[in-house]
Amino acid sequence: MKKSPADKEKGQSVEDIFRNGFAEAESAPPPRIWENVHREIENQELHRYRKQMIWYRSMAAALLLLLLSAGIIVWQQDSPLLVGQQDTLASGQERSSQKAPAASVPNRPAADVNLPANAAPAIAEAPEMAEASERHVTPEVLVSVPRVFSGKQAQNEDATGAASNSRTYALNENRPALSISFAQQNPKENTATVETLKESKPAVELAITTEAERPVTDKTIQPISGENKAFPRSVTNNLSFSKGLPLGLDSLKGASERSILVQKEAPLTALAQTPPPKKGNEAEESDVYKWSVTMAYSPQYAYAPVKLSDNSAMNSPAVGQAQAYAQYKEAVEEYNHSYTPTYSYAALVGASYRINDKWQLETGVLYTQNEATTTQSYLVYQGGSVLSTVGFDLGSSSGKSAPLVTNAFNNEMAARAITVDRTDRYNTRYRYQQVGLPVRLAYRLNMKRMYALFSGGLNMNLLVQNTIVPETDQVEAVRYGLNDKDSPFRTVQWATTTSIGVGYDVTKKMSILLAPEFTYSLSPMLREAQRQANPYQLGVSIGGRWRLAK
Amino acid sequence: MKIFKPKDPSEADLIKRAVAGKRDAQHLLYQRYAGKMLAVSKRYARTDFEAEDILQDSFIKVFRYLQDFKGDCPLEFWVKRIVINTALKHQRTNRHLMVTDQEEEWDDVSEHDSIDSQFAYEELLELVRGLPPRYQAVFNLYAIEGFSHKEIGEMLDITESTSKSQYSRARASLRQALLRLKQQYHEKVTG
Repeated sequence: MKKSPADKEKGQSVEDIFRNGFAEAESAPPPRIWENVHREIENQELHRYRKQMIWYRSMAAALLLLLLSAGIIVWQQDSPLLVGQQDTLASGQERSSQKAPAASVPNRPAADVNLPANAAPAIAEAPEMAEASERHVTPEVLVSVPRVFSGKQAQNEDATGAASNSRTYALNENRPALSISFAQQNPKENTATVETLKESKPAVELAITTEAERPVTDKTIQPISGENKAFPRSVTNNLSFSKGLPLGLDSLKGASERSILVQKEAPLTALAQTPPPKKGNEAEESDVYKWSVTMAYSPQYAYAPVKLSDNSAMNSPAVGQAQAYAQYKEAVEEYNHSYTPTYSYAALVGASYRINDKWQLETGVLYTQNEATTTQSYLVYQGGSVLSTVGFDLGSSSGKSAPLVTNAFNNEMAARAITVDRTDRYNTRYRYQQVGLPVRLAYRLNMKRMYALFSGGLNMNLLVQNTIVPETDQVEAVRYGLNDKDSPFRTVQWATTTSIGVGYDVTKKMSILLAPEFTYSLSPMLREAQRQANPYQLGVSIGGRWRLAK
Repeated sequence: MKIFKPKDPSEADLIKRAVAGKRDAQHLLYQRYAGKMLAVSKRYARTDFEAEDILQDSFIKVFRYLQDFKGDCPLEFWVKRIVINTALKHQRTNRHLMVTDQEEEWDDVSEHDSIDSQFAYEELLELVRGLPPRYQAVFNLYAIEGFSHKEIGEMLDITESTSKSQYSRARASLRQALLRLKQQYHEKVTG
């Protein structure tokens, strides 16, 4: 008590006395408070930095994937020129060594090259030609012919040739007939034909495999099969122009105006005008691609806090000391406040069945890994009699504290006395690994090569493993396996999922899909009824689909 | 809204630098207000240990949310409000473990009995801490901080009339304690 005279301040109210007494009051805080504040600020900054890094990495990965996909798309669009030619040349060579018709290269081009320009319409109108084109050439191929003439033509015709072996003609039979017919019109050009062909190799390839445009007389040409009419090897070697030919596209430029390249345009244009295939083909095609394989990866934000409440262990009568109880409450609050979801992801390998043009059913195997961290500064022990510096019972038989969640939700532990001690702040990592079976119904909206996919469904997840790993030696790490009786978490968990995605058909068989998705848990994470927030996950699924044959 | 402009321009600069994460600026701000704020938190806490915890949590919040400080009041008020809120939160959390003494039956002390002595800070602090937790908070908020009973009701999630009645009881208790202290002092002096 101050020794001031009592009459100095007369008639003061209670409020005045306390207000004056507390005015300008200051207490020197111990230095450790600033140290703790400083450490906590650094932790927060580090945590924020880590979160940003994870986000940036995810974005970078997604961007990389998109760029990669775009690259594939561009490559797929550009490659037919080269691929077609390579295929043609290579296959031509292969066939030349296997079958006689491949060796007939020099003759047929010779015949074609020497055809008069006005022969083209006649070729197009020929019944045999029209028939061949209808049978073997698809509309897409034909439409693309004028744009990438040589390559496409070579490719298409190669395919056509491969599909109709029965229409392969023997060189030794058609050569004389062709030579005679053209020699009559332009003998000089005819003799120069071989030279021209030597220079214009792609033209040679076109001639190798084009069946429909051969206006040779039926009398002189007889179909043979490779098996029953083998071409002599010596002749094959002599006549095989395509052997060792360079594959450069620029070789096309050197083609003479009177070469096959010019003359092919007319028949191919005629082919392009042929009516589209019958409806029956379309139906057949759609049947072929009813099944797809789906693979997807979803980085996601998984909000699944396991909140501790007043129903926790410390309400049990085993807890004696009020101060320990206070600290436990603080630990619980600290846990609840610091629970932060970290980088989580889901990976799906699935199958999709196309019900019709719009609807499809999807299922598969879904692996989900959700992670979270907490920052705590308390240690919780069960039982023991070690006395801490603050006077509470400390220590368990192992000398290590148990994670707070384990204490709070384990009934056996709850019955035992719990002691609490303060320590340096430490992080604890929580990992939930689930394997699930998703069933989703999806609606597809086509927009040329792009499409939108709306899907929704149900996930049944099995919690195969849960690990709680504190980043300190003072607390034990805990791991719960599948169907672990000690685990406070439910083994089977149900969730609804919905997504809206945008896809792109890279090829006829392959497409990529980018789909933000939302998964909302229908069942609680914990076995016992606890007042918990409903877990949910927000993610972006990045994946691909590969269509399979029926 | 009237925007408060700090008299000391260096405070604005300190705030700016502290928001930018400059540790030296944060430390200076802490040094500037920690002493006063510890005194505030002591009034709401039951022990010095708890008061230090409140102070620590408060300053963590201060630096976390400093970027949201609009400057429409002095920084000291803003920090003090955070300290008070943190203290009340601590109190709510620890409500179940507070060993609440049976409420004393206070004798009616006549308002005419004048309390004309000066008391030491520690003595007054001891008296406030001796109140039941809810009364302690209500008394601090009304008598020292100057909040209305309506505001106190909202802050403590109680009705306005409850706040009034609790304040009245707290006041009576403190008055009685002050008179007791005065009497002890008088006995010491007179021998």
